[in-house]
Amino acid sequence: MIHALPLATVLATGWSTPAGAQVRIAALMGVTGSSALVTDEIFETIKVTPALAPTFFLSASIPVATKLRASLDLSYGSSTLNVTEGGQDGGDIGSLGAFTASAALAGPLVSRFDWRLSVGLLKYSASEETGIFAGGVPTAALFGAGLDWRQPLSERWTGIIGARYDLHLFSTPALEAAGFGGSTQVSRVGLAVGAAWELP
Amino acid sequence: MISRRAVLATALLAGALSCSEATSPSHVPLYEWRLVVDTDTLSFHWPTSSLPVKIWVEDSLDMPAHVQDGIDTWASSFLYGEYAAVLVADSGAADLIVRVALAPPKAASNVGRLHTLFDGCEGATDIDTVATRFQLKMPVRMYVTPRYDPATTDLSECFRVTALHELGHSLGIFRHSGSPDDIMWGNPVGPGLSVRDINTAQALSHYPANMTPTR
Repeated sequence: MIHALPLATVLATGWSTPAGAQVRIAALMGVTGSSALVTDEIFETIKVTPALAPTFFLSASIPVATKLRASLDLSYGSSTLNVTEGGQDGGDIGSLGAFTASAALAGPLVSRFDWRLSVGLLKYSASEETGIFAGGVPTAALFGAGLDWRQPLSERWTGIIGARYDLHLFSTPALEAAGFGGSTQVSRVGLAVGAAWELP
Repeated sequence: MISRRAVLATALLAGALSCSEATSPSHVPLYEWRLVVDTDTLSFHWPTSSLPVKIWVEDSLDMPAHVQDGIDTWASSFLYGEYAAVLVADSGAADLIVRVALAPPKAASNVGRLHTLFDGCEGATDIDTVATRFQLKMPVRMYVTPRYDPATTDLSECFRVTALHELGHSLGIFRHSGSPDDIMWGNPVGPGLSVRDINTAQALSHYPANMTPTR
């Protein structure tokens, strides 16, 4: 289990909020792709992979130092869970939702680009609690990074194109009972478009 | 300063994550499930398009509950949606018919009968390979019969185990296993699926089938 302690410590001890700090709310809509959650071998290679998921991203941030903001990020996306066998489509086994909640730090990189780093939790929700989810649906620690391109639209509004990457470990009680050892490293990549609004 | 700490923290997290590697199970041991007829080796599993399998069960001696228990038990051995079944009220649309009766004489020579004997009851499943041998005639017929008077003897465990065993045949396990530890042994002693039963069911579901269901 990965602990969010190091970055949480940074967040807790490393900043002081400047006077007149402005809260910025950002909302983005996009898609998230994921690597395989499960890889198995029964005569041929079997992979269980979420399809591209329409995803909503929401973020609330405050400045915590010069050129540094801290934020609480939420996201939710849902898509079908596809099975491939020997590279061939083997149908889907229901849908899978992924909800994330993260604490993030962000700051300017170059030109109009901002970087962001985050740690948090990812909670899956399966439409069918059978098969790999028969014994329960996992919650996993999440590590993320991102890049935002920002275009000021007005005094308080900013357009954003954001790219997100995150990494977590996936396993379920059903997989462990079936003899799987360890956890699968799952990478997710998201691309989204939206806007940010600075509260007066 | 904070940025450096954040980068260090995230690097540590990334390093910890990258140390993990999943390993898939071996899926052995298992036993032979295929039906050999002369020189043909026949393998069957339900195609995805046929799921869920529709099962009609004679409403006698609590048999629908025993069959439902068997469906749930077999379904729990699969990880990737290979099998699902539902009880239906219309026997005319069923893929599998379960009767609480003695199996009648076989209708044709191309019907293979898998017979099992349990302490208190017996079961049979007919596998009709049609003339081509590469088709499985629907509905598959399954019989469960008490050997003692159910009014005086509690046969519920016997019915449960026999239904579980016969459902295993309907999955595509067209043989009996060689170990009394397995539910698919010829005279099963229960109580549930062995690791070999589970591995065999998973294997047959991913082995290329050369039989297709037909009506």
